[in-house]
Amino acid sequence: VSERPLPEPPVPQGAPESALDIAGAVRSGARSAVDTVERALETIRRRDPDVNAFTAIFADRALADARRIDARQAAGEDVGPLAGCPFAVKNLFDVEGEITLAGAKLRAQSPPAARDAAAVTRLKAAGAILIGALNMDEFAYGFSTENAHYGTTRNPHAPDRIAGGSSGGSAAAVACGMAPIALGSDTNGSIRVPAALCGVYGFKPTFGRLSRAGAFPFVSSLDHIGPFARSVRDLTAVYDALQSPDPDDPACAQRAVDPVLGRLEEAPEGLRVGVLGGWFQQGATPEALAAVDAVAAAFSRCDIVELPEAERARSAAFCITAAEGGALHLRTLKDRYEDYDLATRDRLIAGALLPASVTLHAQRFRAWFRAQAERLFAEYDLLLAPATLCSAPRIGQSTVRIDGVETSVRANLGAHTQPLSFIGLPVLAAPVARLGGLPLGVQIAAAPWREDLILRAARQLERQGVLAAPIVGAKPC
Amino acid sequence: VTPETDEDLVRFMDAAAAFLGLPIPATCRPGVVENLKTLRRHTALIMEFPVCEHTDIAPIFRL
Repeated sequence: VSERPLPEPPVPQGAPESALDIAGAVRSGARSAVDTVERALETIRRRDPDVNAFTAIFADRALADARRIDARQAAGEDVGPLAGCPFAVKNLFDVEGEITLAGAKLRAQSPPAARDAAAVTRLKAAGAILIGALNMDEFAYGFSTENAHYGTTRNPHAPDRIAGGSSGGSAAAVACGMAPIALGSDTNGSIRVPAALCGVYGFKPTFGRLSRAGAFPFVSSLDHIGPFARSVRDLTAVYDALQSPDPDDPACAQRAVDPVLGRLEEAPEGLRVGVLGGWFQQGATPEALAAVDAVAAAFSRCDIVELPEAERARSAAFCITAAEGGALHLRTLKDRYEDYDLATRDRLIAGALLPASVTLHAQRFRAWFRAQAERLFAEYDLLLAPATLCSAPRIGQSTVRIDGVETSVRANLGAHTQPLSFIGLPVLAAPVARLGGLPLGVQIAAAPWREDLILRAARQLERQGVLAAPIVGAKPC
Repeated sequence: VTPETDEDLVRFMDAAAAFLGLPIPATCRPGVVENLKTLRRHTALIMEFPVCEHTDIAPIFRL
């Protein structure tokens, strides 16, 4: 993938704001929630025809919600830490009264959701206002958001390139300021890959930290949800709002809420940081490795470390994904195979045929691999790795030449994300500040339940200028 | 566990699909076979790795 300088994009009207800036203004009464929502809707009308991030825009209900927030604020009520902040969700999250598409044509005639997904409920409770649903790979099975039914989501940094996937609409919407925050899901890298390719922050907390109730499933034993944002502060505010045990998601841990925003500015001291070598360096372009080096250089001590059998972990995640996904869709594959995206359908059928002995062995290997990670975290607080092997490929591009070898883009975009989500580690895909070129992201991983360390370290990197997620189309201040 | 040749793979596809009662239309067959080839590579990598008999599976993974 060439790294050519990009032409200066058009400057959008109206300055984009952070979620917390918006909330502060709405909470103080300096600005109305209605005004905030109207601005967001105008930005979507102007920009989305070129990006195709949204599959539904909930203008009427968003404005009604905004009027309620404004009335409550005027009455002196606490309207929440994200008051008036617009947000949008990958279209696999249930929204009361709307059909949950999960990127699939065959769900277009399904009954509307009876209630909001847990994550949507929690953001609304924090005062945020849902403005729309976002494009994705069909049933979340892909890394490109080239959706046969609802179109390709284009990368806001370069419209001839993919946004990544499967949460491509979420990353693209945040990258170009159509929403300051968004939600996505990540089974093998579906938050981290598009976040990296679109140059925004994408966070996949520890497996079991956030409730998946009301999010259309893909691979129950690997599915996570998480937020996108353009700053660590916004990301942390959303992460805090999303936390809560939930009996409606059997995988959601019964853990106390662990808010981070209040201590985000506390720089973690004496961090022991490792750069993952071996599998995590293979197949990556020099630019992707340089992005990791740029982050590593910001820490006083940083070693090259090995997470043993990472390639095998990737294979195990690949097989579990295929088998669980295939089993989930088996009945529909029998009755309505012609309604699937061709690529998704064939992958799901193949997965449905995989012998149980393979997936059971993979699940046992998973426990072994987790133990290797635990050993590594006894010596290191944070681990770094490329988020993707390259910057955003062109739409329809099937291979990329790396070290003289043609490498399949689709098969490998998640090669570096899969081993980490396989064992449920919390991982941030962080956008590395670069002059020119397309965005690249670095994964910052920590031991289970240490999201606080990741976010506090990322905040320091952001303050130092190592990480940045400037809005696409805005001139630098 | 995994078939050795592409012909074996096609036979495996047909047998496993029949076992599940899953019809595979002619238009799907080439794509399914390609995906099975990919799964065969990943399966080989997994299955050659010895895991202790006492290691539990982790279908719902708790940390």
